[in-house]
Amino acid sequence: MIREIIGLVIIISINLYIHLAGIEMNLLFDLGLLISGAFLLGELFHRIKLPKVSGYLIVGILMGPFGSNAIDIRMAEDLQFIDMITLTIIAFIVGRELSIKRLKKDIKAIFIYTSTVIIVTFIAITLFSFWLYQVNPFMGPQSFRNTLIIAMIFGFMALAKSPLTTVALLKETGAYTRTPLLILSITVLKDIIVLICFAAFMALLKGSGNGGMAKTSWEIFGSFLIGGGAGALSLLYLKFIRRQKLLMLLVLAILITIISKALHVDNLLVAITVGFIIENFSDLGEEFLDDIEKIATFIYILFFAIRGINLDLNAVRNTWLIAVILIVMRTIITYYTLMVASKIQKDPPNIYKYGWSGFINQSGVTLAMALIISNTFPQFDALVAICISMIVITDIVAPPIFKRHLLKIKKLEEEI
Amino acid sequence: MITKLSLLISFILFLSFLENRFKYFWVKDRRILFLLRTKIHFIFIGFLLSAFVFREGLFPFFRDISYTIVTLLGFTFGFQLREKFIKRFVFSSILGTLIKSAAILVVIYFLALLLTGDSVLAAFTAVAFGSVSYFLIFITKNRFIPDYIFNLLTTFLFIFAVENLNSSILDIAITLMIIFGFSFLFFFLAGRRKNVELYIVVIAVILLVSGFTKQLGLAGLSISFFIGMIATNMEFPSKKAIENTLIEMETPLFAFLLFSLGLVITMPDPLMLGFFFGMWILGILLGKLIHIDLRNHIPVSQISILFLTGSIMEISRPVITSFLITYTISNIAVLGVKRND
Repeated sequence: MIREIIGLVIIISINLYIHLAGIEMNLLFDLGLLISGAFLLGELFHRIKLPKVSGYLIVGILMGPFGSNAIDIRMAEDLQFIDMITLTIIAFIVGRELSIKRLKKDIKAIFIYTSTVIIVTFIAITLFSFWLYQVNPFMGPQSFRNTLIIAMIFGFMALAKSPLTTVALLKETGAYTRTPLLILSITVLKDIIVLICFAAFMALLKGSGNGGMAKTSWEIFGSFLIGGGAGALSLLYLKFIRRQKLLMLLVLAILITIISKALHVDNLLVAITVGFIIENFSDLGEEFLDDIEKIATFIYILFFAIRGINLDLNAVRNTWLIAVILIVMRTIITYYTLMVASKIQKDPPNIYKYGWSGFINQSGVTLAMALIISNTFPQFDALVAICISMIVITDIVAPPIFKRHLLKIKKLEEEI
Repeated sequence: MITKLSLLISFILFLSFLENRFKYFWVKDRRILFLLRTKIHFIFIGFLLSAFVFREGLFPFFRDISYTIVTLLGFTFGFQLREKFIKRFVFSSILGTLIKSAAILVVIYFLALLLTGDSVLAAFTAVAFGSVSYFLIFITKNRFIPDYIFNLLTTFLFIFAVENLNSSILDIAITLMIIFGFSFLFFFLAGRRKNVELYIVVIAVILLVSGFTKQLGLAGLSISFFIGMIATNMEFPSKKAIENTLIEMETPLFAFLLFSLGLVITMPDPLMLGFFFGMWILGILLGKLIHIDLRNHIPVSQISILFLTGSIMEISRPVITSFLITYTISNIAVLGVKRND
């Protein structure tokens, strides 16, 4: 621990000196500072039983525009390129966790939990938000229709969750037992279903006359189609070429990022599909995806540190109360929904006693939904700020709780 | 953004289909070797994409990546110089190689300085034609490892010396502080970590070194070489694993440098072309001093590519092009090498 602390003191001193002396360093240096700082704080956090990802995130915040501004907004924009690639690579890992063999064993449980969580959470949060808006119209007075739309949007946003944090914490704790894997499967499946429903919802709002339905359907199903194609190509590569697998992985990640952007599909879904195909349809898949694991820690550092840089703390200042109310409500509903589902499924109480914390973290999907809404309906612009607040708060608060719970679940399930 | 990415894809895709290191075959009498260093085609890929890169203003982007790679490769070279390894060789042989290598570098340097009057170009010429190519190790099945290693060490010392030729004592003190400071940081970050974590440490330190040296206008190549050398002689586990990974990364990264040099190709300068060919022949003749078994010539060394990339802003494009032509020809050539297996 002493080594980490001294290392951090060195990094902070360099950072402070540069900041106080007003020296403008280049991106290479700042990136080096970011990686080493995040790595050290992550290690330190790990030793005091906190998640490494929280350490990465905090270093990002401290070095970003809302901290020392060592990495300013212009540099942060340059880093978006790395962020997109790392996101895609983590999505491969998520896809990898979806093994058909394992899913088959728990298919009934996955179905029950996913459907219960989606239906109950959506209805409950929609009703709650509708009531909350009547009490406190935080986006100004709206018609009944608009209030209902706002409430439903919150309903959708409450459903989206970050599978990326889940895989990162699974790796860190090594909790690859039934419940954590079940949480991951539910999370991914839930995100897919939410995206489909949200697409349909948006199409209804925009009216199918202007091609809204077709466009949003393409966004979802096109992702699977392109993911399927990329997955098939990867299988061919693994079968016939096999060399430079790590480099090929990087190429694949870049390709998926570009193609997704150009064809207006979701790069996360595409990459999850590729990971899923490689995991389930190739004997060499394990070898290939093990290569990802080699660089996984590095990818997590980059992804979460850059995410920390981009967290807009200004948004939190103005909207934190609404965000906290929604998060608390969502957490309570998730807890009781999981409890009901586990009773139906006759499962041990692990999933609701500890697993609830795995459903709190919000993700980029939530933000993407808010941005789509705000672009389509500028009158709902304030939604984005609330959404960012929810992401910032859950990003900071949820991982430490989830990590503790994962360790407890691991201990309990390994004893069985 | 998309164009940047498209470019990255173009060459990374090529990189993934790389052959490892050298490709060669023997002709009938088993005394003539046809050597094709497959990475050379990256120069042409770079050339083909150059108009696009300059039009889109992407050159600084590639220059930054290349600079970081040069720093990483410098570190890689340094990281292989472990005390235990060096101790295996006889001192008199080490000293002999060091003196002979230094003599060749100095002769070529002064001759080039006399002919061109440009100290950066003279230093580059000395490094390019006075150092030994990795080919020596490859073709002789490791018989000349000490020659290669100590020539390499001399070359980096030479680079360090010429880069600090006009520096004040304060500048040199700052450079030494950077070397020891970052070596200390590496030691602190490395500790007793697992392999995966050590790679992160290496990447972080390399980014810090390249960013810092770039900002201060210092040479990342020689500085990172010495950091690598100090780091490898510190006590921490998994040293071999890091070294293997660094060596594994060397080929694709080197190909990237060739690609980025290909971007600046333009019409060659005929005078400089003649100059480089002359220096190449001189290098071959002088080179016989340290590797007498190679009868005709060896290709121009890889360190020249590192040095050139690091000094890309100080050497004009026609000169770079002239050198790249010499480099390419030296790497696709019929050689009269005694086969020793």
